[in-house]
Amino acid sequence: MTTNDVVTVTTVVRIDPANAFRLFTMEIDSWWKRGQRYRTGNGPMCFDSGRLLQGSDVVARVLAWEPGVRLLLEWSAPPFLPGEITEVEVRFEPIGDGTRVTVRHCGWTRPKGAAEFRTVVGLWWGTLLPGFGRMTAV
Amino acid sequence: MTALDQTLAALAEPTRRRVIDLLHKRPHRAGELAQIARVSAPLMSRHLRVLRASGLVEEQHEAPNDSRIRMYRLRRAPFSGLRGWLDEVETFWADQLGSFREHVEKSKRGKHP
Repeated sequence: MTTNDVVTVTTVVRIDPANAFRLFTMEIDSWWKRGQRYRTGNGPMCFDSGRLLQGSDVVARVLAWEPGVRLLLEWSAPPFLPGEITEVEVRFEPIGDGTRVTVRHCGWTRPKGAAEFRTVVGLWWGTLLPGFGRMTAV
Repeated sequence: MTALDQTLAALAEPTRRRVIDLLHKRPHRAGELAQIARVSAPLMSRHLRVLRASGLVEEQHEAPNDSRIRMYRLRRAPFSGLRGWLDEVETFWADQLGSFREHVEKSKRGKHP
C-alpha cells in the first residue's frame, strides 16, 4: 500500500491503542532492531525532551505526540542518506480488540531535490515498474 | 556524488523534467523536444547532454548509417536503482514493525503467564 512518494507499512498487534503507543515509545530500545542496518551507534534508544535519541545521537525530532493515536517524527537517521530529513508518521487505530499500527515514511516533498525526486518516483510508480507494498504478517 | 545524487541533479531543472515526461510517452527527436518545450535547439542539446551523462536517457539512431536522425528515449536503469532504494526503506520498517509485534506478544505473555 504505497503511493507516489510514501512508503507505508502496517501491522496489527493484539493490544489496545493506548498500550500499543506506550510500548512503541517507552520500550523502543527493547524492540528496535539491533545492528548497523538499524542503529547508528551503541547507546540505548529512548524518547527524551521531544527527541528520539540513540545514546547522544538524535534519530528524530518529535513533531506530534498524541498518545494512543499518532506519533509524527522528523526523521534524520537510517535508512536515509546522511543529511536527508524526511517524515515518519506512526498511527495507532483500534481494530477489533487490537491495534493497527501504520508507519508512513514520506516528506520527500520537503528536502532539496524534492520536485525531481517526485518526478522519478512518480514515473516509477506510474508505469515503469510494478507497484509494491507489503503488509507484515498479522 | 552517488548515482541517486546525479539523477536528482539532472532532474533539478524544469525543462529536463519536461523532457523526461515527454520521453516517458514515446521516444522523441531532439528537435521535437526543443519545439514542444519551447527552448532553442542548442539549449535543448545542452539539457540532453546532462540527461545522457546521468544515464536517464539514451540516444538511438533511427537509421544505422544516418547519425542526423537521433531519437532519444528513457533508460530504465536509474529508475530501477531508485526502486532498490525505496525497497530498502520499506524493508527497514517491515522489519521494525515485525519486531515491535513480537515485543507486544512477549509483554502480554509476561503479564498473563
